[in-house]
Amino acid sequence: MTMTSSPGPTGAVAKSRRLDPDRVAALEEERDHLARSLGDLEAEYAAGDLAPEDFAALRDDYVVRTAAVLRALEAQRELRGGATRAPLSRRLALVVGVVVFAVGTGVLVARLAGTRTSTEGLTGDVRGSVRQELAGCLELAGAALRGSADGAAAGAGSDELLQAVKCYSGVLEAAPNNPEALTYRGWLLVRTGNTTLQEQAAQDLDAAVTADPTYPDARAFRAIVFFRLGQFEAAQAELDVLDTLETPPIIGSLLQQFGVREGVAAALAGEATPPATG
Amino acid sequence: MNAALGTAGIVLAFVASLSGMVTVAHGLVRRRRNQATLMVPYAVLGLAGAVLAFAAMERALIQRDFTIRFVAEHGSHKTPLLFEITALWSGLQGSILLWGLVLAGYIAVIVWRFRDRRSDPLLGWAVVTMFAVATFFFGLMLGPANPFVRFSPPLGFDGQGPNPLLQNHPLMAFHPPLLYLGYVGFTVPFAFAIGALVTGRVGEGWLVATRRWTLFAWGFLTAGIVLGAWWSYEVLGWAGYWAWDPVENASFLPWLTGTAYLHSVMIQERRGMLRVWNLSLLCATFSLTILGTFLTRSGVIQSVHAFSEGSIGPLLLGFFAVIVLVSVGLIGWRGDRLRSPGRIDSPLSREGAFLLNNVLFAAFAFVVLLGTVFPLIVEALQDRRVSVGPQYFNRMSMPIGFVLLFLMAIAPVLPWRKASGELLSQRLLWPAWAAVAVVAVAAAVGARGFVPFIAFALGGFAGGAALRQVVLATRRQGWRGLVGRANGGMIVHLGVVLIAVGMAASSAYLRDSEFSLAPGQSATLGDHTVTYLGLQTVERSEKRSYVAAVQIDGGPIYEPSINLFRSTGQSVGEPSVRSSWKDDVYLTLEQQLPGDDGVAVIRVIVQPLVVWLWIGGALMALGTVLAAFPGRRRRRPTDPVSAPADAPPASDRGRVPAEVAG
Repeated sequence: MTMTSSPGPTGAVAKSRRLDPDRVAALEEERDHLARSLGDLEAEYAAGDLAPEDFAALRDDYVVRTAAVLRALEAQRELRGGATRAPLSRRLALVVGVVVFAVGTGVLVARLAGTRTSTEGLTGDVRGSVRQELAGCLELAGAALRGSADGAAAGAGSDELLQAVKCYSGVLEAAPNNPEALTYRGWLLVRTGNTTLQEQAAQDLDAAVTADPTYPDARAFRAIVFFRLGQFEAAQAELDVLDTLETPPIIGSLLQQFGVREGVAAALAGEATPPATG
Repeated sequence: MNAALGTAGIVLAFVASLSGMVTVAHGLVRRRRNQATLMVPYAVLGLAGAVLAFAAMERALIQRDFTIRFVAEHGSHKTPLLFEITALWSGLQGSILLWGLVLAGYIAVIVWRFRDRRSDPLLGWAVVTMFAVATFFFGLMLGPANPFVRFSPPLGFDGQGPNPLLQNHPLMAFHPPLLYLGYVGFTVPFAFAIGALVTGRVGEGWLVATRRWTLFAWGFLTAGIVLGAWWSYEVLGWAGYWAWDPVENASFLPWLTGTAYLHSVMIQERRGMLRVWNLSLLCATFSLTILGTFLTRSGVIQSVHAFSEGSIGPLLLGFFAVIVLVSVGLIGWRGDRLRSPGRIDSPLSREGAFLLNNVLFAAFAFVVLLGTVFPLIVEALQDRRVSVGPQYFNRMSMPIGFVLLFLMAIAPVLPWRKASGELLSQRLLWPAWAAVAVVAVAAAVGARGFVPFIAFALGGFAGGAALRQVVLATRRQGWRGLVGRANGGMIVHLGVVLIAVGMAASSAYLRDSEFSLAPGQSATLGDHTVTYLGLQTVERSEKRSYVAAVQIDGGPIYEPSINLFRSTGQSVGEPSVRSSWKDDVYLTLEQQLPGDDGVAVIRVIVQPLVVWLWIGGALMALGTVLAAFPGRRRRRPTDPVSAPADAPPASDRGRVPAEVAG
């Protein structure tokens, strides 16, 4: 059994007429403690550890203290009852205000949301440099070309190809003579297989070579286009220029994949040209 | 060795957290106080485990121990030591490990700081809550976010190193840890709020105990956000500092609710009001840190379907749901006790202004949250991929920001309870003149446009009010007029004003152009002339850099570059910036190799007052530190800003009721 002294509960309540949740919690703890102590006391009395007169004195003390705590708790509850609530009209106005704001914001976000491309984030916008935008476009182009190659036939995955074309068009709005954007937009248009777009593709590749005659990708794509159109001398001229440049290995692989060098050489030697692949 | 040590550390921290939670909770339920005091050894063991795991991972990264998958994926022999160390928080598992370490540290410090109150049930339940959160995070590390998964590297294997963008600037060493100190720091006030709700002691006692902890968490989060903006500006090459992307929004959301709480808590301390609101704000702040972690770490940003492919996304979302449900349930359970006896006497009072400030911060948070999750909701419901651009965020945040600036001017001069028009006009005279002066200066230097002028005027108004308070306080109290919550808060306000003005000016008067320049050629943008001097290639172990030399206004040479990282083949631009108090000249090299004629494409961006953003951020951090120092105890309402409008004469002040005096 533990005995603790408790602060005067009623006095504390009298000091302040404000609801004090800490005080309520302390009183509830005190009430539970006193109830437990009463239980312990009775158990000890039943076990013969206490004389009847001591038991009566101690029990009376606990009862008095418990009553004081209960009265203090009741006083706190009365204070709680006095806590004011805003009038119904004000609460309704608050709810209406919140709903109107939420709906208005929802409508605005729905109206201002746009279709997300694979280079865009869920939200926000980085004012990207041409270089960063090109990197994003290249990623799109890579995926689109892989899809096109997997589809075997030209035109497969054309949605992705056109999305990548749109990306490069965006870059060209900011930098109209960018050789990389011109080259890859031209090449992607070629890969769509759409005949109406081939003229634009050729113009883009020509413009790319004009903008940067040393850009190997443009030379390689032009070589492939000329080869497929049967313009073998023009294709060879592009390959000759390409041989003087530092060409990335992937470009060499691409030419090999299309059989350009062998095909052009055979055609110029008067042999039957193997069918273009890729 | 590293993997074994690290795993042992995580297991130790997990077991200590779980045991600590169960033991202390059992002791509290069974009222066995000696059991509740066992929180100390569990906290120490948890911290020891976390430190061991963290040290093992750092050691593995430094040693390039590729037998650990995380190191193989984020480390490389080519990466410099600093970025090899910071690689720990460049991936999911490392970030969770850092989170666990910071949380274990907070638990240990809390247990030590409140060692005299170990038998207090409120502290006990707070520690149980913190142990529960720690159990969740260390549990993640034993499951889907295990940083010590083994890997068998082939002979001669070398990793790719961290993302090149994360090894391009030393700010990467500070920004994430500060952000995490902020995120995780909000666990402390949240845990005390839960403790208060469980014990029913929802008065003002727990607020006072956690006031400084909340301030520190908020200060760290603020510093983390500002450093993140600075990093974005210095590294990404777009000359911007805020893009409303989901990761930024994830850090901004708890900042908004945390800021609202720091203001509204003063109303509860002074007037005993807004108990439910304050508890809700704290729970919301902590929940939003978890939601932010979910958004940034679950893969949901790429696609709403991606998060369900791994188990960490659903687990984080589930934990978020548990936090929300427990918080709402506890607040509902204690609802009766949370009702306040008082009410706001007049909207034209300090508490009225704080209430409006809170409404605006809550609305701001709702706007950002809705914009961030809207694409996820649409994708989940309609399988349509949409993006919410900056127009939505700017259109909504601008008016809210303006009203908040206005309130920043009004609130500090308002007394508690009610104010008279005469008093207001007297106290707002200086700030009004400051607003006029700022507008006049802006007009004199050629600034144009309605929106920036509104921002300048309101900035001047709010700055004038904050400055007035600081001057009055230092006159009255000397150097002590700079410390304490109210005075430090005014320094924070000054920082916010600088940031607001800097943002308005840098976005409204930005000039951006790309120039193709041959060596020796110059171009002019605004008041600045840039001269391209040439390009050189610099070879380093981890990258090849193409470095352009550009002279600005005939002065020093700046070197924007493009770095080609060997491990990934990725090229990353590195801008070079000339900063001055007036404007920044931001240079990026756009084209990697010049043609035969040596022409390079240089992008030049001129933005005024950008440096004010970073000065403002530093002032906010300084203000937070000053606010954390104990100010002069106010025994009587002698401070004019806290006195009621109809305060009795000085001789009678001792008789002002306690709740008015605060």
